[in-house]
Amino acid sequence: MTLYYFHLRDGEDILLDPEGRDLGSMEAIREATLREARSIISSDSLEGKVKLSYRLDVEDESGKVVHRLQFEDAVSLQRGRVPE
Amino acid sequence: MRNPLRLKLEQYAGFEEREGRRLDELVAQRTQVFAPKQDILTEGEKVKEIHIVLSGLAARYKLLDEGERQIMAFLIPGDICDLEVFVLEEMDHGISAMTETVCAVVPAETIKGLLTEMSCLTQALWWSTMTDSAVLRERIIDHGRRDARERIAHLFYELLVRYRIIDEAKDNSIPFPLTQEELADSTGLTPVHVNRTLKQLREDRLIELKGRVLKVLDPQGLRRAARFNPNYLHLRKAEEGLRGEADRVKDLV
Amino acid sequence: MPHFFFDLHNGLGLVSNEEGRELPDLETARREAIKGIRSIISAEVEKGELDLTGRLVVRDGDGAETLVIPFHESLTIVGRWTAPAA
Repeated sequence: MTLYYFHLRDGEDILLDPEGRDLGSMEAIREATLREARSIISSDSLEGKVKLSYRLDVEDESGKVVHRLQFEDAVSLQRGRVPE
Repeated sequence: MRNPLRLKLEQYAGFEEREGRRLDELVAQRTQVFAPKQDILTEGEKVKEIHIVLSGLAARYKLLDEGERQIMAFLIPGDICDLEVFVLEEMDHGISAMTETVCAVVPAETIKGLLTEMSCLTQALWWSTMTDSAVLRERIIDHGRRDARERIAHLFYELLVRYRIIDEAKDNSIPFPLTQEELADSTGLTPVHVNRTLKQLREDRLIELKGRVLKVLDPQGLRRAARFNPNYLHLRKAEEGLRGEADRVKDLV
Repeated sequence: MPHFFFDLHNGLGLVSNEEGRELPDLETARREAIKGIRSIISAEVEKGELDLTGRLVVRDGDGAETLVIPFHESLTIVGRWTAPAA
């Protein structure tokens, strides 16, 4: 069983993962990270306050960061204006 | 130790002492211990015996396409796992022990015999089944209506009410042996999201979660955070302000 | 109670609301519109889209445009943070 820890960073603050998760491949890690980001952004949208400055750092048991996702990169963001 | 099944059913029906004792005998006959993660019942299994949770925590679940587990509901002491055996041939979902769980195992025939003897038991069991369905429907409402904070607050508050019914919520503290991953599976969220939401609920001084115990510091505050409406639990006696059994949950509903 | 119609203009085009809703006043209509926009955005984010280019137009009982709420005004977004090199 290989455990990976998903830590949520927000500027200076960090929310540490107290449990870790058993994931088998880089693809599974990438997918889990993306789902995490989207789940949080989705819920925050309901409240009207979205923080794209969050970052998820995935570390292995030795503390090495194996994957990183900036929330801004978790969604395809569109601004600008829809034509009349 | 008092019979949790009796404590739960008392919320609906009043039992005479003789009937109460029959219920006590029912759960004392034969028990089975399930280890954490062990299936109590498997999806597709044909059921001939009723399982009643006496201690521990179990969950109804379905396996999704990619092997992901969706937890649909939790079963605490007093809850009956498989009353539907009377109507359906086989289980349409699985039931797994989340922590070490002891169940009373009662042959379907014994229950049938009891039902003909005690008509109030029939009504109480019927109510129990309907309430179980209502608990499941609340999970459906989660999707698209409740944000993360509301979902978790709602689950916690509902568990508090249910543990109060069986008199296992001293100081508003209830057993909580779930991992964040399991909590995520049961609320349609993800583990980091759960982690963040728990942090918010702690910072708002609504809950304390240490070891495997959840303590509700501010029941009214948690209820507001959940926008909890207790009607789906059909706690008739508490609503009508009847004495005795109802006092256990009156302040919460 | 006054009647309001809610028209959604977004990347997928215009979804016009034939029936509308009865609401106590314009302020309530505005709040409901914002709730609706947030709900749509929330659902789209699950699929990886954060489309703020839309707008919701509130029309009164006579069909006249009364209120326009751009999506980007329905929520606040805190942007990119750059960390010092680890």
